[in-house]
Amino acid sequence: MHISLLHPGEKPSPAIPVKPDLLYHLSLDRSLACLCPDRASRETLFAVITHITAAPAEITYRQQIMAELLRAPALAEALSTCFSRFPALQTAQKDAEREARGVGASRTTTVTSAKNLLQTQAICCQRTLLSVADLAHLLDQYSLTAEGLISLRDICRAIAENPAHARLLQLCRKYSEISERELLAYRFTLNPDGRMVEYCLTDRRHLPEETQKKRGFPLRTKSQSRPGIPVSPQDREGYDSFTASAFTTLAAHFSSVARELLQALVPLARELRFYIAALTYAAALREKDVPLCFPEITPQTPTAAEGLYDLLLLTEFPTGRRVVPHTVSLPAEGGLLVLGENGSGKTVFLRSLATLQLLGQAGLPVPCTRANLNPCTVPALQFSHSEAPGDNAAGRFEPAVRELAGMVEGLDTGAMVFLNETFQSTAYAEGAEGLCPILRHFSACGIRWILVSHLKDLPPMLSPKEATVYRMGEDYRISPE
Amino acid sequence: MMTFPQLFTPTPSPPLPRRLLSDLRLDGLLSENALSLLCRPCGEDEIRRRQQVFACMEVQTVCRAMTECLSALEALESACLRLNASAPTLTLYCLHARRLSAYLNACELLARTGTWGELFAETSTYFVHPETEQALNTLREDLRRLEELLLPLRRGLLAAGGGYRLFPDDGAISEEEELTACITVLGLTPPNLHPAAVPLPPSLSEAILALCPEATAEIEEILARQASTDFLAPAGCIPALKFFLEIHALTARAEAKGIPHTLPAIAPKPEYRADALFDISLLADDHPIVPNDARFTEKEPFFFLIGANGGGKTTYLRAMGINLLLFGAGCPIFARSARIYPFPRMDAHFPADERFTGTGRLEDEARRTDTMLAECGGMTAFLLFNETFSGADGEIGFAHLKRLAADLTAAGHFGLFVTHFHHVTDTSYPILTARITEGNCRTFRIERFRGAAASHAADILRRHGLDADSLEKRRGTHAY
Repeated sequence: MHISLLHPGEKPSPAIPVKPDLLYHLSLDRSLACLCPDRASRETLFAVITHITAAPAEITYRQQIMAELLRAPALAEALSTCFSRFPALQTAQKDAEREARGVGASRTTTVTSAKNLLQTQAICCQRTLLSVADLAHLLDQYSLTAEGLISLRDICRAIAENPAHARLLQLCRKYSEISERELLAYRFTLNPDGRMVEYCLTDRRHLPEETQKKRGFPLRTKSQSRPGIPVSPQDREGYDSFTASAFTTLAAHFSSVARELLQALVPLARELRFYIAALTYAAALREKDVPLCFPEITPQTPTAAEGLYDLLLLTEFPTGRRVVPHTVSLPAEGGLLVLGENGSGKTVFLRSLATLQLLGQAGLPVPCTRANLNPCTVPALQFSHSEAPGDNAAGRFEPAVRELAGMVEGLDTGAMVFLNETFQSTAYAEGAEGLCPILRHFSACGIRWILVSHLKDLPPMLSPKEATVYRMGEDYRISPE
Repeated sequence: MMTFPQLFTPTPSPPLPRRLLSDLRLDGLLSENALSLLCRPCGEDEIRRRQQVFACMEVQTVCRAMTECLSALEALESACLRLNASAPTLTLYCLHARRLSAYLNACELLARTGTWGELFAETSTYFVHPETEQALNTLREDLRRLEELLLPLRRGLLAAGGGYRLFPDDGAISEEEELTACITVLGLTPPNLHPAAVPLPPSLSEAILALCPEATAEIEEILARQASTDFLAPAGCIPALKFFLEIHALTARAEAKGIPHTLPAIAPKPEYRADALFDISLLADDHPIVPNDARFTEKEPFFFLIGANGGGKTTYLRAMGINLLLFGAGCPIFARSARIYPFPRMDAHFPADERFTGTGRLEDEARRTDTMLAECGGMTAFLLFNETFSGADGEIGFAHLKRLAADLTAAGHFGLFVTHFHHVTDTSYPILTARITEGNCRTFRIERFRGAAASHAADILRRHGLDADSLEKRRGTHAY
């Protein structure tokens, strides 16, 4: 049984790990801290953003669920309440299982301890089965359109409406109230060596009927003992051990039902927390009058956005009106080179584009009016940063070279590189000359790149196929050079 | 029923000393069962009969059938051992049925061994004897009936509540089965539980038997009829079958390394001739094994073997000894071809650990060699000596060696004496040597000595850089 709110199908597509420094340089930690103040919720958000996907079906799957929950916030709340029961149930089930292992290992297991265990597991199983039915009932109340929620409803419905579900519940009820003092029936089987291989509970109805005998006058009935052969009580301890074993065996069956269902259901609670956090993030942006959209996933055409906002800037202003949005299309071939003076907004532009790529690939809505998203296989980023204490005399140049060398070594077709003022150090006037072959290499390898830079010598070095050049204007907007 | 025939009959000659097999390094190569059988050399007829079996085993189907037969016999032996009088009566009934089933299965397989040569002919014939056939048919009918009677006794229902009462089980479904069905229908996985079989409580056994008194009486009647049957008798074939299969497996293992095996021709008079004889004890070391020839005849029954250390002298001695042992037990030997006389006695003298009390090494060795000769008791023996008297002073040791060689040849024994006493080249005995090339490379080839014995002392000096050339070079380097 497999259900997930993040991944369609049996197996999730390979997760793309996103390095923490990438989130740091994009200031996603800061912006999301403002937009989604609850730390626990934010952590679930980060857990997904740091393991993005490039599978269009998976991104669409998440977008649909998110859109559904945005449309029906009551559903999100109800699901949250429903799912919140699963972890507690799982804890109870695991505790009982742990206890069962102790009971199984003990040579002095008493019938009473085994009976208690059976009762606990039967109750756990019953609650789990009822939770599944509740979930099916809850989802039935909405006209769902998201594939993920529909399949969750169908799976729960298939279980809850199956006669086996009802029969299991009956058995759960029966054994949650079992008493070792009541009449119990056991079936035993010996192997060809004459040793006991099975001693299990069976329904009392399999025993011969109790005969009724009329006696005297007025009519009085007295039950006559059942037929059958009385068994000498001499091996009482042996029978007690068989009984305990029969109870624990049955408990193991109840436990397996609860365990398997909860193994599938408990992760849903965690996955739902991601959507709940995303709802908070969306609500915060809406409050700032910022448009939100789910990018259309277009693996054949480059990423493009209209009215794209930078999240960090948005957090600094009460409304989005004071932030300049960008409209951009990445080139179909080669990379995008954005030139501009200091303080012209190059970094903001790069950050908003990289954020679009990351949040979009996590399945989240992004702050823009419209967007196409071409998922990348690996996102990489090289931001100019302060000198690290261990850096040698080459200052910031050598660490940057090392970072680029790592990219050249590790990246392949489909990757996307965001470069911010790479080789900006004035001590290295030949920065453009050094950077050019690297950018050419990226283009030749099918690695998409976006470079914001003040290296004016670069454009003549690159052919139009290798790079499309934009310039950042004084109004913080970009335009083709 | 007739007495069950045995495959291996005891040999008249005394067993070979167990230490001989350890000295020949067979301990790690073969099981104790095989080693104990190798210690009992056979006569000519028995060797021929066993060789027939090994020849049959070259056909894979025979090998498979023999393996199956061995498994059946081991199952029978195990079934017999499990019959423990202290078990509850119903368990005993079941174990009787298991033993009977294993017995009939083993007999059926043994009856099909008639094509495996004369050795198995008697066993096979035993099963076609009308008396045996009739007895087995009765046992088969008994087994069928026993199983029929026991089947319903192996299931039942117990009602628990103020004591236990037993009822027959007319197909009750357990709660476990019902739960499993529900779990499966829901697409979930039921638990994979494998409860261990536990002893049946005697009280339940008694109750079950009381529930079915007619069946119990009939079972008792059947078992009483079988009281005189010796069920364990066929298990007497186990050591022989194990032996055949183990030696066959060894030949297959050797063959995989390119080592041939052959069933030697049985020589009518004392001789030991073999082409390309291998020391199979080296198989475990994964080193290439160099074969050598052997030519021990009545004309030249005794050889000294000399040569450089590590040149293959002891390996040659072991190859001679191991293959002679294998031949004596009717097994294939590891050579291209061979013709060997079934020597009724063989022995070997290897250096022992220095744990003598009251005497020195020389006295101990002299005593041991004297005992070896005495134990031959008039039989033509093949004796092997590895560096015997090597610990003694040159002249005394050599004197002992000469005396021993004289005694040995005078008694008509065959033998091989590995020694580093190079003076043996001055005696009239034929000499073998481990050949070394001119560049002082060991070839591990053993050949007739043609003078100029290789100096093992020089070899040791060279290895440690103390030979003339090495020392000269050292001087050149250090320029005294």
